[in-house]
Amino acid sequence: MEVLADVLPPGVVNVVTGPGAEIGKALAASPRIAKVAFTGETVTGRLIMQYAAQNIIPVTLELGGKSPNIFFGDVLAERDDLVDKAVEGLVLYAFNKGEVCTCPSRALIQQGIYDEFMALCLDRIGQIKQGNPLDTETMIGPQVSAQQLAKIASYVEIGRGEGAEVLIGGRRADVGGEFAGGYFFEPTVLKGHNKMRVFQEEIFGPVLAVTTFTGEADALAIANDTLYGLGAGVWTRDGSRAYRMGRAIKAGRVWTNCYHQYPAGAAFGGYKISGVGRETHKMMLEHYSQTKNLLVSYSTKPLGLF
Amino acid sequence: MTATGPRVQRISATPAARKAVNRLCAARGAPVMFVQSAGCCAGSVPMCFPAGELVTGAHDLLLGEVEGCPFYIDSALDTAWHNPHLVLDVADGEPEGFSLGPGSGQRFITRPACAEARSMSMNRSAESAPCGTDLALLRSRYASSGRKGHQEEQSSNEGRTMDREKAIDWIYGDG
Repeated sequence: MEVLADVLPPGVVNVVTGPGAEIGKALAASPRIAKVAFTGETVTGRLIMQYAAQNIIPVTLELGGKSPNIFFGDVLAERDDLVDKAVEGLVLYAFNKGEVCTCPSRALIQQGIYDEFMALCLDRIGQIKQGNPLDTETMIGPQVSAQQLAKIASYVEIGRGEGAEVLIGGRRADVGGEFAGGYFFEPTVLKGHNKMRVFQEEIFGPVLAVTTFTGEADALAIANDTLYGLGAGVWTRDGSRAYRMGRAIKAGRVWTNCYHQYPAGAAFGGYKISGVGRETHKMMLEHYSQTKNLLVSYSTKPLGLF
Repeated sequence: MTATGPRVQRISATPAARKAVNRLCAARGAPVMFVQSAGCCAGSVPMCFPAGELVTGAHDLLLGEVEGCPFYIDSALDTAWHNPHLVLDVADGEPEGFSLGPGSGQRFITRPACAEARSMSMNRSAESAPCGTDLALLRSRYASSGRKGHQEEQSSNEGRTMDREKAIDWIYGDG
């Protein structure tokens, strides 16, 4: 807020803190509010839409995702930088400790390259440095809260219970030193199938659910077999395939041969229960604006109808 | 305004949760409702509202009642979660979203019932099924097993990756 103070006029940005049950409804249901945007879980999203309906105001929502990151076999057709980039692209599930709505938390890997590609990825995941979040050498810091840590651990347990195989990680991490006892969780990969809960629910932690597919149709079916539709990644050397997949995946943002890139101007938002509306694009301003039509007659003569 | 009645009660509650629900209803002088949430951030927690606060519809499945308070789950979510039997419990921490909490720095949580978790097990023997997400249990289980720090020097990544500033530009920039 101190940084913003010199940029925005007084009163434009107001931060109200307090328990959601007390201040959340008071804000969302207030007739003085002209538009609501919310990022969070689905039930609160529904409630906000309900309050907005009562006041007849627009609302935009971003409610999470379970984004597929799809790796076609031709990624390994050459031994070049793209392989390196694709490996990093898979490991980006651990970016910001997985606490990102667009976390590529489902990896779909074409059967023929699974063993070789996964070996490369697990090697890279094993090199992730956890620790002091302010140290520039640190790759991932601690989870945001004890609650979050417990939730992540519980999902790994649920995954195990459903028969998922823990390929790496799966436990709370103790980084020792002054951060001993911190809310660190090991970057984790669970191998299973798309019907498992760990493939269906946002975990919001460094936990990747990985499965294989046979061909393009299979990859698309698995990618779209989710309640969510926020992000997706497609990795291939075939431009036509990338385009077909990009068109057919039901998600608001499909990255091709990249992931977690958020340039200003690129529309961002979700299909299905991932939400309503788009942000970071010019169209976002329309959510906060009215369209007015001034229809002015330059003639002083009546129409002559009456 | 609601929803199919429960054919089978698929929600139960720990004694602590039942006590908390009773205490909350008594303090408010009115009943509450629970709705299982999903998605971003706090995601998988149950939301607790004054009864009737969330308008439920045909796709909201009534899993049952806890101390007379209804517990709903969205039917598509219920399917994605394999029709779980849920256990309402309390844990340390503040409630999420617009949810009411039982007070005393606690919040409501749900976890799959053990028996149901076992039956959910798809291709693994039953003894590996999880029994819950209790924070204390998890803490005790994970506290001693965490890996040690990264004292050992990792192999140099030089030349393989872009430097950090460039990577940050790449993520937030237009490149």
